[in-house]
Amino acid sequence: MASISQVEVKDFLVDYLLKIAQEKSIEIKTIDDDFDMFAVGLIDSLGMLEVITALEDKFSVELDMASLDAELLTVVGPLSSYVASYVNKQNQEAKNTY
Amino acid sequence: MEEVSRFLISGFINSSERYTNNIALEVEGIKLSYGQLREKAESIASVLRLHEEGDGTGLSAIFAYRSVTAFAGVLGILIHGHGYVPLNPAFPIERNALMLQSSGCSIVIVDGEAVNKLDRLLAVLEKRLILIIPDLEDTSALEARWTQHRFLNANHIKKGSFCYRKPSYTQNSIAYLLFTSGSTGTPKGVAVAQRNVISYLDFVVPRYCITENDRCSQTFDMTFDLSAHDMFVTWEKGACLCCLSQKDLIKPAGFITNSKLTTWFSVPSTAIFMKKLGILKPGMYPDLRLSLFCGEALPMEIAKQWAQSAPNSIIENIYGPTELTIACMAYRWDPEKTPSECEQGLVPIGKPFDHMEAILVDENLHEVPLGEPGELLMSGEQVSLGYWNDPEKTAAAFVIPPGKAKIYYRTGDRVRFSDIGKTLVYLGRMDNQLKILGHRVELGEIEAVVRKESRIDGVVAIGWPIIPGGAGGVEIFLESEGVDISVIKNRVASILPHYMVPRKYHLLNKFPLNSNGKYDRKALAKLLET
Repeated sequence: MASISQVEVKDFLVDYLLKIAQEKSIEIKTIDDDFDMFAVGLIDSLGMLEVITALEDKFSVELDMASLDAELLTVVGPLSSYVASYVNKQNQEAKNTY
Repeated sequence: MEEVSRFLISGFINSSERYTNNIALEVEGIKLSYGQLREKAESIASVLRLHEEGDGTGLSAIFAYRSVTAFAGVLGILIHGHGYVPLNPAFPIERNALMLQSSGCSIVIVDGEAVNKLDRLLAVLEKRLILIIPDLEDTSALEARWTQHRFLNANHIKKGSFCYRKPSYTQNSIAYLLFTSGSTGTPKGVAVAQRNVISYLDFVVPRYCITENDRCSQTFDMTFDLSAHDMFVTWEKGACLCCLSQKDLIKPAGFITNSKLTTWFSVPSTAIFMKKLGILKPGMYPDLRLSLFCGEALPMEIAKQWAQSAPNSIIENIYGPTELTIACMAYRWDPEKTPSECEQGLVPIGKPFDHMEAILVDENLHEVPLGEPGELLMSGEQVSLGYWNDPEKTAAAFVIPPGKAKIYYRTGDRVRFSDIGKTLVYLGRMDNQLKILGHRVELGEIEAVVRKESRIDGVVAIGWPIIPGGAGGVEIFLESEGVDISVIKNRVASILPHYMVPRKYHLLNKFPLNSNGKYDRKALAKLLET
C-alpha cells in the first residue's frame, strides 16, 4: 500500500468535521492545524470515538492512540500527523512480515 | 449522641478540623486545603444567611461548571442549612430554567464561567432571584440590565465573618434535589433526604476503606447524583478530590497517572472509550487501589481489561437509581468466579447493601419465584422522599406491594437472580427508558419534545446504536411526507441536554404498525440496521 500524507488525513478530517458542524448547526469558518474540535463543541468523548472509527474505516487500520498526548488528541494538525505516521508504520510492518 | 445530629456536611466539617492543611480539592489547576475550602464555603453560607428572604423551599441552586465556586457553593449551601439544587450550564438554557422553576428556589450561586450564560437564563425567568456571584467584584452592568433581581458579588462576601454552627434542619430535610428524565416531556425532581445520604455514607465509606491518604477522581457533573459520592465520600475521611476537566475525560490516562489517583469512579462508557484509545493496557494504572463503575451496564470484557490495567485495584460494579440515593447494590469483580456469573456479557449488579432489601415482582407487584425474571423493587433507608411537588408520580413509583408493610421503589429494571452465587443480573428495562453515557433517558420525553416542536404526531425515538446495556445515542423517525428538519432539529437541540439530542432524523410516509395497531418500534429499529 502506498504511504499516506498528513494532508490526506487532514483533508478527510476537515470534510468529516464540516459535515458534523452542519449537522449540529455550528458555524465554522476555517479548519486549520490548530483547530481544536473539542473546544468549539464539535465533539464530546463519544464524538471522539466516532472520529477515530471514521479514520479507521477510511484508512483500513486499527488505530492505537495511546502515545498521542491528551491535549493534542482533539487538535486537527497533530491528530492527522499522528494518524498518517501510524498508518504508514503499520503498513511498513505488514510489508516486513512477508 | 453524635449519631443523632450527623448530617451530610458533618464529615467535611470534621475533616476540616482534623486535616485543616491537607488538600481537599484540586480543580482547574487550583489546590485548596480543607481550611481554605471551608473558609470559602462559610463565606458563601454567611451571604446566604444575611440575604436570604425565605422562599419556604429550604433550597438553593448552583449554576456552575465544576469549579472552585461550584464545590464551595455546595458546601456553603449545606452549611447554611439548605439543600442544594445543581443546574448545568452545559445544558440548554430552557432546561435550566425548567429545573430552577420547578425547584421553586430563589437563590442561585453562579460561577465566573456560567455568568456568560446568565443573561440568557434570566431572559426566560419571571421570578425575582437572588444571584450570588463570588467570582465577580463588580456586578453593576448586570444590575442595570436586570433591575428586578438582586446581585451579590465578592464585595458582599466577607472573609471570616461566619462561624459554623449546627444547621437547623432535620434528618428528613432535603440534602439535594436532582432532576431526571420524565416520560411526559418535563424532568422530574428527585428529593433526597439527609438521612438517605448518611446511610449511604455509613455503608460505603468503611466498605471502601477511604483514608486521608486517598486521592479520589471526580468525573461526574453535579447534575449526576454520583457526584455526591465523589464529594462526600472523599471529604468524609480527609482525602483529596481530584476533578477531571471535560477534556481530561476524553483521554484520562495522563490525569490518572500525574494526579496519582488511588480511587477511580466513572460510568463504564469512559472505560470503553479508554479501551478504544489504547489506554487500557496491562499495568498502566498500578496506583489505583479501588475502581468503581456505575450508571449503566458494565461489559465483562471491559471489567476484565480494567483489572489488568489496574492490577492492584479492587473493582466494583455498583448499581442504583437516583431515587434510591446514589447506589444501593454492589458486585465485586473476581477474576476466577465472575466470568461464569456474567450474563449477556454483562457483569452482575450484585447484592443489596446491608441496610437495603430487594424483591423481584410481576406486573401485579407479587413476588416471582426464585430464579424468574421480574421488576426490581427496593426498600430501606436509602429510599428517597419522592418526586418534588408531584404526589401523583411519587405514588406511582413509591409503592407498598401486597402483603408488605414498607414502601418500595419501583426501579423499572428487569433483573433475575443468577443460578450461581445468588447475585442479581441486569436484564433490561421494563419500559422505554434507556441509558446514554450513564444518563437516564426516557424516549417518551424526547418524543414529546419533538412532537411539540414539529407539530407532527407520528414521532418515534429509538436508542441507536445499541451497545451493551444501553445505546450510543438516539435517532428519530417522523411520520411525514416532507418537512424542514433543520428547523425542528435546532429547536429540539435548544431544549434537551446534549446526551438526549437526537443524532439523526428519518422521514417515513407511513409508520409500520404492530398487531395492536401501535407503532412497531422493533420494525423501525430494524430499518436503522440496514
